[in-house]
Amino acid sequence: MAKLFVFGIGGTGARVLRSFAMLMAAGVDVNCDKVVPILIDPDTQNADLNRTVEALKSYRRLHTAAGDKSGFFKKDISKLADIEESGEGKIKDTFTFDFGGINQSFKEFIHFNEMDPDTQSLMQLLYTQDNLQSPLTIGFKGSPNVGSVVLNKLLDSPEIRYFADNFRKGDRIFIISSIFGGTGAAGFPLLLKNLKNPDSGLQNAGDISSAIIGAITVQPYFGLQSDNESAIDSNTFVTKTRDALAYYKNNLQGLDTLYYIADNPDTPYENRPGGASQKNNAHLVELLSALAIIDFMEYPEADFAGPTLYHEYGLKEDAREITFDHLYEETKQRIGKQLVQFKYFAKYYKDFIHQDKGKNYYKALGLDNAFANDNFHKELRQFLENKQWGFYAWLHELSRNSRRFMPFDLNTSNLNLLVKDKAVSHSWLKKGITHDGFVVRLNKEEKSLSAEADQRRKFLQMFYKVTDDYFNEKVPAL
Amino acid sequence: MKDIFRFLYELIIGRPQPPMETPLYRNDIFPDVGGITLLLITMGMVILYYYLLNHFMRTAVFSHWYHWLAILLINAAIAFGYAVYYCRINEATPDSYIYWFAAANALYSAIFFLLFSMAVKWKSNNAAHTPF
Repeated sequence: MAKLFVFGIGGTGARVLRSFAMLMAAGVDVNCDKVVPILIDPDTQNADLNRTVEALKSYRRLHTAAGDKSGFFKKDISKLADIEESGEGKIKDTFTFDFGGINQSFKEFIHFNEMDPDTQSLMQLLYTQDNLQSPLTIGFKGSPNVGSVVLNKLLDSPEIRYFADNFRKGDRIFIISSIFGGTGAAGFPLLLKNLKNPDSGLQNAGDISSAIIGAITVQPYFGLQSDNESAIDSNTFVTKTRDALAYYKNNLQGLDTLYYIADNPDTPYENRPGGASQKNNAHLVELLSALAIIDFMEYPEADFAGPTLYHEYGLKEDAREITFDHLYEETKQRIGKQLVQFKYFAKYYKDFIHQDKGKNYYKALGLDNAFANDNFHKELRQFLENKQWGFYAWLHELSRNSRRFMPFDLNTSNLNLLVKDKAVSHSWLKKGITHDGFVVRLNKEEKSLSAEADQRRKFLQMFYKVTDDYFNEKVPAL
Repeated sequence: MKDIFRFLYELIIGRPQPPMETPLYRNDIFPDVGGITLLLITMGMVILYYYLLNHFMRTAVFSHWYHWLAILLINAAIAFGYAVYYCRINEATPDSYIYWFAAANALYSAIFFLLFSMAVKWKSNNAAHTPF
């Protein structure tokens, strides 16, 4: 199998990749050897971007320890710098694209003052004063006309050359962007055009231009509070989307498949044009957008022989509060079991495991010592419980947003009631899923996995197997 | 076997008292009490702990060291009581030797409990690492 390069452009690209990281942590499968996310956003202070980067970095460290057979964290998510097979020079060891700190305004970037008066007049016709004065360090503030100029820098960058050097026949590319903002709306067609150009001058340009490329373009799904001080007005989102779609209709050449997703905006977000204050709660649309990546990899090459395939996502039932019951069977099949298993694991790890001192599996794995000294457990706790970007924070954000995605009861301490509307049947004689039952099964798995010498892998495998058994035996069908 | 039990008990409490009951202790009481309490009952209690409470019952609530210690103490109490009881039904002279013998039997039952635990704990699902 091959690599999958995922370009996440702008704030939406970053947020979708955060959801994707959570799905991968839960053990959702994606049909490739390795996923290489590349986040493209000049706004390096953007909180959404940085939260995703932290989640991906943490995932990577956990995967390195867990290996590919531990159930959770099993898919290799690599940084571009990690995949070196060939190529010259070095790139920054990070998931983000390095814009080299564009510490200037758009006016300075295009050398406005050095232009002749006629060109300056033309530029003033195409760009508002605000566009021209705007510092590029916080992105393009919803202005794709600015982004389309700045992002042209992409092709000359060491990252793109490095990507091209290491691209192999059979690898696939997926691009995530929003259509109603600045960075994503501008970056997507630009990136596609360059990737599809066999004469781009990049290494392996032939293989890249003939590669299977999929994309998701996220249409408006949230609104912003009105703010006269802000350059972004969410009332223009639909107009911008319509214009961009008209452009895409005639100018997206060579795309093999395109996914669309949108939602009716409800409660508006705070209007933060960029920077560290742009921290939007995770949204169901981002989670469903992440599914497009997985869906894209399910199609065999032959299916892309014809014209561009188009996909849209629909819920089974329109509701403001979404649980597993509101998702179609295909979605539940793809992520339901894994999310439930991972939630059980996270719940147990957070609330119960420290009560197990003295239990067989706990002593056999030396967990007292491991919790104090092993970086794997420190990292795992971060991934699950970090208040900014962790798994629990992600679930809480999803459950607070509108529409709310709340497949789990996040407040219960009863393991039988963890999955919303899917209570595990229990009675006086039949206990369902209990702390004691967990311990018994963990003890059993610890003994049956005696061949696994690596304690960290064994730890994850044990929990994966126990939660897998519980899901199959006790949790009602989703 | 008789010689082993005689050696073990007399190592701690000396020769039977009064001297005229030495044959009774050496030929009947030591081997019977030792065989039943140190071997049979102790092994039974170890199996009860490791395989009934901590394997077949499918609960892990009894797997702590203090549960193990509680069973060890119960076993020691049984060993003590049975030694006294057995001396009485064999009409041994009721002096302090009986109680020294019972105490030695309780001590050995604890040691045997520990040794049997080490031997059989590995296959127990929930207490393979109890007491350590």
